[in-house]
This record gives sequence, C-alpha cells and structure tokens, in this order.
Amino acid sequence: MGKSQDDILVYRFKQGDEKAFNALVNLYKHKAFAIAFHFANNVEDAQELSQEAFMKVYNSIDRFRQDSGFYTWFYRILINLCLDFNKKKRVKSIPFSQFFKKNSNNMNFEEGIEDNKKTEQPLGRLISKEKNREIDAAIALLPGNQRVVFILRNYEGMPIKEIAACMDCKEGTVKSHLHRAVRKLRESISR
Amino acid sequence: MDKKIDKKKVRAMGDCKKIEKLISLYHFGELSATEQKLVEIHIESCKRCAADLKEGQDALNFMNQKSVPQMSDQFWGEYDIGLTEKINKRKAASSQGFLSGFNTLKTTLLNLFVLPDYKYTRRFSYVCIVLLSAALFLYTDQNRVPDSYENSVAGPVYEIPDREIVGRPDGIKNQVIAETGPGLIEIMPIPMLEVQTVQDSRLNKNLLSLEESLLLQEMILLSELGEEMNLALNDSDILKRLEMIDSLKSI
Repeated sequence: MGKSQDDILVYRFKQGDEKAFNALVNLYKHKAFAIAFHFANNVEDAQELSQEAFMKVYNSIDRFRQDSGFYTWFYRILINLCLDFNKKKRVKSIPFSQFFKKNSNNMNFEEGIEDNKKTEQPLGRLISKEKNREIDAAIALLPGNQRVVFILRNYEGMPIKEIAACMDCKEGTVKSHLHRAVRKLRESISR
Repeated sequence: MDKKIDKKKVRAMGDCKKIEKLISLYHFGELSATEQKLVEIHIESCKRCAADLKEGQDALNFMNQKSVPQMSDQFWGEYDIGLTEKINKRKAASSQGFLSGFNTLKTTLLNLFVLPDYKYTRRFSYVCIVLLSAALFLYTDQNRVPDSYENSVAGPVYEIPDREIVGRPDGIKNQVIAETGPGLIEIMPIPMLEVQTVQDSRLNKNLLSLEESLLLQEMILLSELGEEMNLALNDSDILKRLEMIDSLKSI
C-alpha cells in the first residue's frame, strides 16, 4: 500500500501537483531527519541535510524513472548528501580508547560532534550527552559504506534488500559491510 | 542418536570462520532458519564464537542507547515552512540566473557600440538597432534581382522619335518614365523593376512593358552604334525585334 501510494504521489507531482510533493515530504520527513541526525549528530545539520534531499527531489523528479521505489531513490539522495557532509565537516576519528582516557579529565575533545539539544532533565541531559558522544565517536570510526549500512540496518531497521537497493550494490556486499561494522564497533567498545 | 548429535557438533565446530561471518547477521535476524540453527549449535560447543556473539551483542546494546530526539510539532511546522522557502528561493535564483545571463549578453552587445554614457543610451541603442535592421531590410529588398532581369543593365537616355512612352510612376521603384514630344526614355537600373508592375502597365495601351522597352532600347543601340554593340544577336533575333518595333508603331 505504501509503495503504490508513493507511485501515485510521484505521478501527480510529475504532473505539477505541488500538494503531492508536500504529501511525500510529510511521509518521509521524520525518517529522513532521523537518518540525517545519525550522520550529522545535531538537529540543525540534520534539518539542513533532510531539507536539501527534498529540494533535490523537487528539482529532479523528472529524472526519476520509477524503475525502483521512490523511497529507494530518495534515501540514495539523502545518504549521498550525508556522506558528503561528513567528508566536508571532517569529523575527527578519535580512537575509542583515547576517548575514554581523555574523557575522565576533559569533556570537550570532539570537534564537529555537537550536543543533542532535546533532553529533559539536567542530569539526564548530561548522561545522555555523554552516551551520544561515545556512540557518535564509535560510528565516526567506521568507513563511509559501513557507517551507512550500520545506521540504516541498526537504527532504521531497513532490510538488507532495501539497503542494497539504496546503495546500488548486492546484498552480499551489504552483509559484508554490516559484518565488518559490527566487528569494528566491538573492537572499539571493548578497549 | 548420540552419534548423530556428535557428528553434528563436530561439523559445526569445524568452521569458526564461517560462523564468525554469520554471527553479525545473527544479531539482526538476517539469517535463514538453517543458518540460525547452525550458529546456535556451533556456539554451544565453541567458547570463542560464543564470546564473539556476546561481545557483538553488548556492542549493539551500547550503540542502541543513542536515540534521535523527538521533535515538537512546532519544529515540524517550521521545517515545512523552511523547506518551502528554500524551494521558492532556488526557483527564483534559477530564473534570475537566466535573466542575469541575458542582461550580461545585452550589456556586452551594447558596449560593442561604444555609446556615450548619458541618460538615454539604452533607448538610443534600441533605436539604432531598429534603424539598422530596417536599412538592412530595405537594401536587400532593393537589391533583390527579379529572375527575368538578372542580366539586364542600366539603360542610358535615348531619343526616340515620334514615340510617346509613359510609365507608371506610382508605387514603382525605379520606374520607366518618359516625356512626350521628341520623347526621352529614362530607364532606371533594370533589376529594380518588378515584373508585377510591368504587367500592370499593359492595361494601358499607351504603355510599353518592360520587355518591350528593353527591346526598344536594344534596337536603338543597334541602329546607332551598329558594330560597336556587343549584343550577341543572330538574324532571327533581329527580325523579332524589328517586328516588335513595327507592332509598337501600330499601337
């Protein structure tokens, strides 16, 4: 039902119906924001990235041939934007063990990893902030493809098949990336 | 029964490398039923792989503590507005881009004329362009050669005795005109005359067609200049022309 709804909206949007575009935005903005947040680690950048992805969809919908699902195409755009963002921002890849050593004395060693602003209580905010930093640092250590696969599978629950379609690669490749990502994370955390 | 289980265990133990790859996918439930059972049997007997599985699970549990913040309705309202504004800005920028390119081209072309920098330069340049275009059109129109008169030459003034030839002055470019009495034919450059106007002249019997005028001109030249003419006329042509002259005399 979801896929056919997308097809209808895309068709209408191609005919010039702006409301169809708005409907697509409403359908995908939450997930797009969530994915972007995992890459950007802050609300503003996540908002920018997801909006940029929608703008690309708006400008290049005519080039979408509908040989794959809309969400596949959209997520591919979003992921490419996120990876480009990471490259530009040059999030420092600090070894996890160093993070733990430094963390006991100095809370502010990361560059490019910003705080999560939406927490409720001061202590809870601090703990949450710390945990997010640790997790962001671990994810930052992963190479681009492994990071993409891990985020999409672990946080977004996307099936391997769909991830393969988004990344335009084979399922075996996705499984390989996932396996290596988990191993790398395991090594980082266990130090 | 025991032997079967033992055999299975031995087989499962034999391939830790294969199991190691499956363990990562085991966490995410991406294994088939057979593969899942294979892993479970293997880790029962292989401590190393069992430890790997546990470490992997612990790492994932740790990673799953990160959560995406729950954004308010206000945030999403502003999100939609912001997106619409960005799209509209980009639309405006792309159309501006075309206009700015056009303006640049226009400025470049205008600069080529090196016009003085005063208040009405732009209007003056537009007027110049229009006038130039009109002049070009008129020139090419005037120089358009009707098919039948391609090889014609401008005619000099001749004296034609006892002949009154009148042309059609109105609306004709470079018309054939004449004066009564001794008669002077003034024939303008032939390519400028139009066949249509020559045909109109036949309505009046007193008028000569252009072709007739041309023939007359030729005969005058022949009679006056004789051998000096370079006209390659054979006898039949001369006879035709003499007959034409006679027909003109009878009008």
